Amino acid sequence: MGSNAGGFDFELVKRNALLEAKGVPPPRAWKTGTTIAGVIYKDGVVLAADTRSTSGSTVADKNCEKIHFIAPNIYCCGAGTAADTENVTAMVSSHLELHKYATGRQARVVTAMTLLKSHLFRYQGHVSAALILGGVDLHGPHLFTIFPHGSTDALPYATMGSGSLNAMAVFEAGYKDDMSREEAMALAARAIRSGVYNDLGSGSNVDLCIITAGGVEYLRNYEFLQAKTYSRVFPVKYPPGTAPVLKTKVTLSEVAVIEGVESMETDS
Amino acid sequence: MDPSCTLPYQAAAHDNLRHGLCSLKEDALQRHPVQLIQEATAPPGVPAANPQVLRDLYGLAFPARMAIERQIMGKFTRLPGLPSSRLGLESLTGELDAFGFESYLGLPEHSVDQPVELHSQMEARLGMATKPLTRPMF
Repeated sequence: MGSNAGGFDFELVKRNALLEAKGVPPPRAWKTGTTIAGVIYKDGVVLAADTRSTSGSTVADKNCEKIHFIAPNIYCCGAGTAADTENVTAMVSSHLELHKYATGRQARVVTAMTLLKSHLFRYQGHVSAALILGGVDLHGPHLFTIFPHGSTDALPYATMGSGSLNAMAVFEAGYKDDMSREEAMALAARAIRSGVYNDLGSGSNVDLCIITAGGVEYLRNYEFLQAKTYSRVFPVKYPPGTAPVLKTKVTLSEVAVIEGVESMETDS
Repeated sequence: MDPSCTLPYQAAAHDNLRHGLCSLKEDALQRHPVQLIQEATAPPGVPAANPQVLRDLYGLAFPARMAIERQIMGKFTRLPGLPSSRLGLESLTGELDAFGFESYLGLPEHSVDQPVELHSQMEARLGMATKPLTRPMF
């Protein structure tokens, strides 16, 4: 894959600048005001994310997906502009696939991390993606956070997004080394739940992704927190007895004669 | 102030018939910061060919030979406006294994605009015109 002439199109930049100067603001991008988290346990990594995406102060999607595929042994949670996180992770995923064909080996997590950070650093924060990268390779489980300007951290537990402080508080209180799988899943879900309930940018449900050397388990809507209290059923089925029967008369003849007129019910 | 935001220096006469009406104000408008970044930096994923590092690793001659090969490979292109594959150059620089926005966004084969005609681009290259046409003449 060579870079043969494609790329961003800047044709409309001048027009947009003119429109903005005349008082027509450009439309805002969807952001994932987010809580994402990851934690390393004994045999692998647990990644977790909420599912709300917002456009300004409006909830744009109540059940979006924030844990993205990078490679069969690497996944990545994304916070920031939704389109940027999706496209950057998809692009790095494709790059790693090419790399795999060239080397014939399983991708390493540091390779994905280096590709992501060099890309983000090149664009100096204009690609607004704050990521948590987790995976298991021949050196064991790894967890990295990558900030939009390209700096990275390697940590045993990490949080990102607008609800990161809520989630980090839970990790600080509950983390211990060499947790079991169930403990790690419960802790990560609790961290996201803390973001969902206490941060206005985060909400809806909890997604989990557990990566081990043996494989990946992606649990979409692991905790379904904010289901609708009333969901419409169509067609509407009324239970028997919904409408009161005032009078019945069964006639055997072909011509039915109804005697008497039912008077209207009044509070007399 | 951004140096690219000043009025351009008009060295040659503007050809209204070929290039449309001259609008210096439009040329002086601020460009997008991402465009400036893309022009100033190399795409990521390509291994940084730091000559000093290569010199230390493989000896004095290696980076010099690479530079010569890159020059030779860079010369083999089709006529301007036609897509060049640049396979040799890309395998030399390692760009073949890279995958970026330019590999799948805004590809020339997806463009709805008419391509700039070959004739005017050749004229510009041979110094018979100042720059290729900005719009099709027909």
